[in-house]
Amino acid sequence: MSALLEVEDLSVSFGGLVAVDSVSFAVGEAEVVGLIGPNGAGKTTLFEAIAGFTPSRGKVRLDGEDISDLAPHRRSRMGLVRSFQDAALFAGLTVRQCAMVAQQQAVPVRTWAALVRTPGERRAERERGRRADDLLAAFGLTTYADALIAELSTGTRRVCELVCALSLDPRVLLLDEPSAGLAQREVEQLPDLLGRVQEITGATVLLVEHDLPLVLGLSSRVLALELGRVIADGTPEQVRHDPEVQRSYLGGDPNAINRSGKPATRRRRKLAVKSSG
Amino acid sequence: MDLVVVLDWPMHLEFPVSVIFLGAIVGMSYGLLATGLVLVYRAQRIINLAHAQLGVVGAAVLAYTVLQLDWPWPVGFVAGVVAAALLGVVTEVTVLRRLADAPRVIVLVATIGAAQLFVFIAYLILNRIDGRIGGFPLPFDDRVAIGRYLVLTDSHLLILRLVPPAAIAVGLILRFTSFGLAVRASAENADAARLAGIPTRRVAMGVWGLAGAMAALSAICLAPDKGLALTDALGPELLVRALAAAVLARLMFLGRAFAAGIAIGVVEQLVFWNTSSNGVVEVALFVVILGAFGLQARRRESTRTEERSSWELARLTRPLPSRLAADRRVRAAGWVGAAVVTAGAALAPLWLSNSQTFLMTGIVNLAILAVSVSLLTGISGQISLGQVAFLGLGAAIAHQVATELDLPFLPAVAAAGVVGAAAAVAIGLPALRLRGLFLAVTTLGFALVSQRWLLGQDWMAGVGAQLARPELFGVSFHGQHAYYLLALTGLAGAVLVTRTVLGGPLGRTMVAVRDNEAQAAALGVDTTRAKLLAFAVSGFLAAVAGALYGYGAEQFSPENFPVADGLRIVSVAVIGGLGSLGGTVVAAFVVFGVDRLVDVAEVRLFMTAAGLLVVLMFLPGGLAGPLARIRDAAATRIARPTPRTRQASPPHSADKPDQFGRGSSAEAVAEGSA
Repeated sequence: MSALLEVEDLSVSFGGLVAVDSVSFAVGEAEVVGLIGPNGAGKTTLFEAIAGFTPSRGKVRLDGEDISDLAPHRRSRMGLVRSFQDAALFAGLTVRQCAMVAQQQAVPVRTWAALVRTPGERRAERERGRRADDLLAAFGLTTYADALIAELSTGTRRVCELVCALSLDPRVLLLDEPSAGLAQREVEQLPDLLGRVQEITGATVLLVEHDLPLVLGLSSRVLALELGRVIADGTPEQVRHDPEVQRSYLGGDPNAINRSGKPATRRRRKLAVKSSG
Repeated sequence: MDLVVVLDWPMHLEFPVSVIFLGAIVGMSYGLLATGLVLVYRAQRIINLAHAQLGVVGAAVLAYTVLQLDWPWPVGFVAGVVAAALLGVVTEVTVLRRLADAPRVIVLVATIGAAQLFVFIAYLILNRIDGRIGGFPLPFDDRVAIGRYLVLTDSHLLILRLVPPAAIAVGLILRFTSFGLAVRASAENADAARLAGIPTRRVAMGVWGLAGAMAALSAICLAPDKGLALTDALGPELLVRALAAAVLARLMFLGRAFAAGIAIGVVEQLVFWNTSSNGVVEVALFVVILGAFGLQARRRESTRTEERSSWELARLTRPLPSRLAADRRVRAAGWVGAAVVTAGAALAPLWLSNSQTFLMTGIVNLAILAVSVSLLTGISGQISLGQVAFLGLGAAIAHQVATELDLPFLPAVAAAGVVGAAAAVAIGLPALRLRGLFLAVTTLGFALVSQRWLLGQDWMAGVGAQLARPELFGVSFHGQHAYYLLALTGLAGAVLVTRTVLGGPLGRTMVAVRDNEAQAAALGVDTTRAKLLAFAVSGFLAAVAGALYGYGAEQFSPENFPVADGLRIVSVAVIGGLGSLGGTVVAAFVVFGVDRLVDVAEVRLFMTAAGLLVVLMFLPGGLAGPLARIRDAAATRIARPTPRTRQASPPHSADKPDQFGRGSSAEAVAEGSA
């Protein structure tokens, strides 16, 4: 297994606070890696650093190429695509327009041509629209195509964000808490949705998640972070039973970690009732 | 007092102690204004462009009570200060509270409207004083000289007597009273303060009351030098100085703002002494503002929340649904409608006099300028208060190209546009790091630099420039109506260009960057490029408008591009609905039409000020909202016939009002993963 994404000695500090402390790991082709850790462990900051949104020290390599000094949009164009916790997207655009923004990488915009609307640019714009419509249809968003993002629920925005992300033909997807802000029923649909995304793109997925059963169920490998350092790295089974992870996570309550080992569906239904009430 | 420090290297500079002293006195008035700005900004994240004008009302009340009612000066003084404080509280309660959740640019523009309203009120009060001779009332009649050359004016003496105690009082109130603690708490974190039981609304009222009183004090101090022409006196120069002091204090520290004001006063007086040129001071101030922001840009964290709140739009106008937009009949109807409107505008001069047609030509050019603001601010999310600078730049460049290079109309206009685009990109570069209100301050400073210095240079417009109206393809455009048509063609071109940008990938990208820069970058969008492109296109349009203005006016000078117009053009773009072309053009014609074609000053002042506030409070989306509803209704009706299309209609149909509806998300995910 060759490493697709390599992180070497990556550190991020805000003033005196070290949020990510020389983290190193490598992720191979088509792996699904979960990233867990308590609040403030530096998971999101690590993502921001890998995607280039936060100044950091250390190296990030994509397919062997050093991308540590590239701006976020350059990394994205190379296939390192991230999602956001809030899936805010672009409040003032419609779903279709969002999808078309994402298509501008596959069908690039030439500024001068777009300013005078050359025939070539018009064809390109139609092509973007067609591709966007296809993807929206494939993910059941056609009915929302003309709705403004600001009018959608977090769940629908999340689907839309994933559609945008996979328009970029990503090789590595960094998903930052895809379950954040979703209703329980939506969370239950999430594994299928992510599975489809991975199937379509064949991308390596790096996943930050607070919902442990979800992340342990999805990932083939799990990294545990605490205070900016990796404290465990292994299969979900290994990490779940790692004493240090158990200690750092929720004060060592094994029930929180092992929820998925028990008949989870009933529990979830109860939770769903609670959250809707 | 006659001590002079002289530097001979690198250039001859004199630092007379008396001038420094004078500068410190003048600077105290800037400091007091800056402190008021910082106070309001800290409490509510509002840059209050109405601050000085709020004080003018207080000064007017003082003048009225003392001169007309024969009240003793101290009583009139208290009346003036209290009146301004009350007016501040009323403004907070009636206007700003309603706009609490509105985007910051809307609030900023609301303060422009409030400023105009305050000027109107002060104008009414001053008009009631009979026999307006003898100037502004004073409590004393002494003359003091410092050194051999400098005599302190009445203003200076008032400042010396009133400002230091007032500054100390404000400092003590904020430091040692529970009100002061509450202000500081709300400034740090309004939500947390509210949760901790601090009555944030009452705090806001208190802040505005205090700010009003401070503003009145500033205006009363400055008034004696300005006489009773108060309403025009406290203009953009003062605002830019106060803003510069405020930003030097990072809009956070009151004491530092006061000190920065004094420093600016000293620098200003020294520059005067050494160059006796007004414009150089503005340039120096602009550099100071840029430098201050440059230092602050490193502290990105602190600006981030403000950045976000800048662009959470309260109302969004949805584009025509793609199903309707693609309908051939709807498109044809759109073109027919546009043709009818254009024809109507082209024929309008048949009912107007020559001079009215000349004024209409000016309005057409201002409409182009408003479109450029709408694009930059509405679509790209960059607030520019200095767009009028590019208007002047365009006119000056056209003049230079036409006279020096002897080129005809079209190349001159094109050259103006290109230079305007380049200049806008240069001004936009700091915007890559700054957003929202900080950019607003920078652009305001640039507008002042341009009017007071840049345009006055001999290689620009100089003291005055001439341009002869052109002849194109054998047709003469010397007549009023003919040139009006030419300007109208320019407006149509500007609308078409902007429409192309908006409807295509470029406008979409700009909106994406405006709404969520990080997300746009994550999708591979070059955000720097998108922002600079917005600056370039809007600078191009503004400069073309300027060139058309120059040819239309035939002679002009830097005075034709006052900074206040830069503020008004933003108001127009907001009234029209930011990002809406139709709304913006309509608003430009209504606002400037009233302004130029109505003769009664009261009506004019009241319409522009009150009209702006009414639109902001009751139509937060501007005229674009109702216009879009009419458009959607018309398009739906035109495209209605076949039942087949009706079946395919989406859940969010076109005629539904814009609001944050909650879509049924569970279904979406379910469908998505089916």
